Amino acid sequence: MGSASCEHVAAFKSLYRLQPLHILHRKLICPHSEFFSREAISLLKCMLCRSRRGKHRLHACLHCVFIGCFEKKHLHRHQKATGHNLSIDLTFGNTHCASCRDYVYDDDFEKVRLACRNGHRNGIHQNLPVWEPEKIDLNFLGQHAKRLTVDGRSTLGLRGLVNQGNTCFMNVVIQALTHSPVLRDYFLMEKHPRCSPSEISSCIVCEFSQIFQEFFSNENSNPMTPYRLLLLVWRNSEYLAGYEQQDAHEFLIAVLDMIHERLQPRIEGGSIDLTGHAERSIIDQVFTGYMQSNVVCNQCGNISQTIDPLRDISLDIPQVPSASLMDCLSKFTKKEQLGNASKINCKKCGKRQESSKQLTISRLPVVACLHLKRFEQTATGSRSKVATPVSFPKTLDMGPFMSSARNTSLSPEFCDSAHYKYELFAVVNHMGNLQSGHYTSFIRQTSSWFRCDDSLITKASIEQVLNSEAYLLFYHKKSIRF
Amino acid sequence: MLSRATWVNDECKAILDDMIFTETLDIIFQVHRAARKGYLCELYPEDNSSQKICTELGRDVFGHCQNKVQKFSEDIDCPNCARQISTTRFAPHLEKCFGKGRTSSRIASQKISSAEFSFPTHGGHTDAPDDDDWQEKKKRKRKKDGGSKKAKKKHIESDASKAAEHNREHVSFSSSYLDEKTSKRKNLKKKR
Repeated sequence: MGSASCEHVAAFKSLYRLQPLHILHRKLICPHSEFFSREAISLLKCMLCRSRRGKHRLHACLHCVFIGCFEKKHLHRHQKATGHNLSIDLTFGNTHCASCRDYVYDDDFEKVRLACRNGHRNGIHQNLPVWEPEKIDLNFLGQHAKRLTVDGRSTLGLRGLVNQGNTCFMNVVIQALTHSPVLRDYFLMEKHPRCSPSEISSCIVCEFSQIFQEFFSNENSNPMTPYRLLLLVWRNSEYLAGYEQQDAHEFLIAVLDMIHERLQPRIEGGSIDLTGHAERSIIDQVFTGYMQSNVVCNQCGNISQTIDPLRDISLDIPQVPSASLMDCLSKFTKKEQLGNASKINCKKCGKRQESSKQLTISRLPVVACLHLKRFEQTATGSRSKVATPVSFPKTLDMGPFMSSARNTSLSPEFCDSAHYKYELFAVVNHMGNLQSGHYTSFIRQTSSWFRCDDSLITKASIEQVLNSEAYLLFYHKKSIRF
Repeated sequence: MLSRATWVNDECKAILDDMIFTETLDIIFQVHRAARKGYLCELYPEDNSSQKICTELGRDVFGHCQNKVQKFSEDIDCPNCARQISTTRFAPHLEKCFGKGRTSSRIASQKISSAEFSFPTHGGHTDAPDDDDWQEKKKRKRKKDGGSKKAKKKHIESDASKAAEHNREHVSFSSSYLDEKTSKRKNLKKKR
């Protein structure tokens, strides 16, 4: 690891110190105020050709007052004439040495650049600097050489879950959540500070943090048992307690709610802060979308619109020969006549009128959980399982089901379809019937799929996944590379 | 002479061009700095520690034998009562020791209604018939006694009760429990 600097910079520093550099950064590269910004804009052009284009790569001479473009060699013309060899790239603040014919990274110069740049970023509310490690960071990394990444070829992120006695419904939900984008990163970045020893046994977020550690620390390849989570959920939800098979979908909703509630900001005294100023919980940020319900009066056409939050979409399965997920979603967003028996009070007409109702999605969540209603209670009170196979895609386009799509005044090119593309990353399956059933799941890591059957984790193919019966489908926004 | 529309178009193209160029250069500089300072391998680190996935038939991704993994269990300390419980039997244990759930409340109400609870056993045990530990004790005792007639009788009885126990535990969604559950859920939903 040779020096990233050069003797020419060293020579310059001994003559002029860091003052010229400071001025250039503060005035031209990262002006800290509105006034300096305006001043900089007027100065930022090549003195020989007046070009302002980023493509021409303007540089400022470090030795004198000169700004010239790199691409058209106007900087070089100046340097040849004067013998000045150091210049600063005005877009990024990097130092170029003409004698070495390369960009150099002197420690002292870097300190000035980073301080100025970070100060500027804080000013415009961008607090995430690019990772530019210094010597101390590199030494630390050198001493700790173990590197773990989630890719499709290693076992990192995979772990079996012991069935504690009909707890497969819980295991499939844990598998789906530990492999959910954004949620996974939240837990691995330890965004939830660990609770005090007295609180930790009642904190579901701390418990999930622990589960994430068990999955991603690559320490143990034996199956793990989420027994503390079981107790926590039982303590919290009376109707989920009890040794018997539960519904995985109900469990998912209960757990998401428990985590969300636990993360609600509390004011002094422990009660929830209802001012609404706090940031949304990670659960809302990841799973919560919004659904629009339009009730239209058949008589006068008056539209009554409500928007409600939702963390999953429960879909009826249409009884057609080869039902697809698109069929289910179409049925969900279809305009329905409410009929004579369910007249709605129309504000415009002033009386009850026959109306139609239509549901559409007004805002999509980062992770869309689609629930196929396979466990239906019939009119007689008995329950049965709807085992109709429903085909579902690897990539789902939610565009046709959006509220904006139904608005006919918008032309197609204004609906940016890229935002509505979703990628499948987890599938929960139920095998058997109500009397004796078993849950298994498929999860995806990068491009590899795995089958999770309690403690048994095996590699699976996309064909196996797409041919499964599907009860819960988890899709994530395509624009999040995961 | 350029029309205004053409000029606007050209300027927009130039701005986009510059933006793409600058974004690309940003990444180039990051890599260049890493190369000059010697941390290029850290920018896009390769996994050097994780185990590679096993795709052999009969084995799971970790290379464990599938049959063994499916039977895997260990003993943990119950957070509620501190006893050592096998992980595969934790849920039924928790139901009793925690006091919630159908079996627990049924036993509790039965205990309350009948003063002395008798069950065809030896030794006059009055424990609940589906207490796991009692079954375990019986099993161990049976093994110790060996092949005497008395022992054989015990053997048959404990097997029968064990079978009943086994069937009950493996039934999910049994109809009477289901009605209770749906009504409980309805009540809770109303509360919400």
